[in-house]
Amino acid sequence: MMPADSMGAETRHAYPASAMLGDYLRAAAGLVPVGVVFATVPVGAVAAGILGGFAAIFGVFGVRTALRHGTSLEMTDSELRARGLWHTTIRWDELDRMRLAYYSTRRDRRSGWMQLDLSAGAARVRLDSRIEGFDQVVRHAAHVAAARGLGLTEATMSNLEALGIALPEGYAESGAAR
Amino acid sequence: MLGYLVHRILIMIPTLIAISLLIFIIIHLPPGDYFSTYIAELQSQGEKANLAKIAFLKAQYGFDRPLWEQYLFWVGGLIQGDMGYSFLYDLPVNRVVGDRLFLTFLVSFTTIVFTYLVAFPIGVYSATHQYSLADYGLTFFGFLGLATPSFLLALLLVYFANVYFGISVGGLMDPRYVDAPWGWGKIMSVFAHIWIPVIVIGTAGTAGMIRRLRANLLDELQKQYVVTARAKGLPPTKLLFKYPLRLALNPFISDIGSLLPHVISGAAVVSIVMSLPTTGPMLLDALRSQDMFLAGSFLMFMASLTVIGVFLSDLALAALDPRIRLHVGRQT
Repeated sequence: MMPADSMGAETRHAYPASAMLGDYLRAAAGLVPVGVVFATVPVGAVAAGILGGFAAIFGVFGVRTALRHGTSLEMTDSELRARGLWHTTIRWDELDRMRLAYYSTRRDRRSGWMQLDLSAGAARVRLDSRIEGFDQVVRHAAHVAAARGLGLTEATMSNLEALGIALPEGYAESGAAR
Repeated sequence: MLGYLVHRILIMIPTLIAISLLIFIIIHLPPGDYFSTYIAELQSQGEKANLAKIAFLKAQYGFDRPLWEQYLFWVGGLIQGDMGYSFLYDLPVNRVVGDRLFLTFLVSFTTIVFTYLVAFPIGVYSATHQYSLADYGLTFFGFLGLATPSFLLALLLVYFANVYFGISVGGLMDPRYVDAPWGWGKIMSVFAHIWIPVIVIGTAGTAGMIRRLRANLLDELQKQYVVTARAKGLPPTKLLFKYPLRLALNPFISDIGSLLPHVISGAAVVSIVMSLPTTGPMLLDALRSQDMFLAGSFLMFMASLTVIGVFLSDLALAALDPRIRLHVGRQT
């Protein structure tokens, strides 16, 4: 995955529409059948609660997909800016938390996706591996995290290793890595 | 995590649809239906069936329609919270099952909680005190628990409680509460009675869990990072809870999914032996008499519990250990 647009030290990253199409379809696949059921048949209280819960989850997911689709990232050596409905900036020298998670619904753990969470004080940015230039953002964040001696979970370390991102020698064995 | 939740729900829905199809097909596999069996039974006894009522019920519940329409009728009813009509009891299924679905859920849920509460400390103790006298003793009881069928344990308990203590350990509540509305007394009576079926049903699962947790934890305890941490002087308890135990817990959590079907199928037989007012005995009767709506609703309920159990264990695993497996390689 390469960055969409490089401008010297600044790189820009966005979610391509083709990558988000699946999530829009998933949100629709959850909302439409529930809507059809509610519109066509009388539903009991328990069933209405369950279906309503599903509808809420898929609704929130649809909104989140749209928000994520409308968000772009700008990364420089000093900060990471998220531009969309809300603007968030993470200054690398204030990064205090990094978490890289991998999710897969398959038993063999294939065909999954990664999610990167970054925090600096109250500022928080979350992106997933479908964004263009995901590896580049993760690599930069990992090096900043290592330089700042942030504690990384076992799962984050494993996922970084899977992406081929090596942390400074000895970091994995240090207390900070735990 | 929201994305994972949505992906998992979308997998769960077709799974439940497939299960409902299978249940419907399997119940319809034997020739005839409840009514033809019922008419044949009456005729063999020289009695006359009320054909008008049977024709009315057949028309009302779609038995005269094609199978695919019957399936949609049944599933549509379930979505609306209408479980159909039990021809065996001549009552709506909702009224027939009464508290049974809830009590089945309660027994299953309590059994799982019991299994985890007992297996966790024993498994950890066994692994951290490997080859000690206590470990051998617990291992022995573990194997004994694994090898003893639940219904046999139930029979033994019922027998010995009756012969030596003169009490009946069957049922889930005092007889006076069986048809009484729910109240504080009934709740307390259920809690006073539930522990025996829970122990009976949960023993095999607990023993299995202890073995698995012990094996997983022993694997972790022998790894180099544990040796390094010990060498660096990390306190043993802190080391145990912070690193190896966390990793050893993954298979322990993923077992929730496989534990539920065992608990439920084990509970069915134990319920018959111990006269528990759960779904087991009623399901057996419903299946024998091809009471489509009653059997189908029970099976769908149990299948849903299992699917939900696997779903919850997957969510817990994803939250606890969201990592890629290196041997799989990168798959994003």
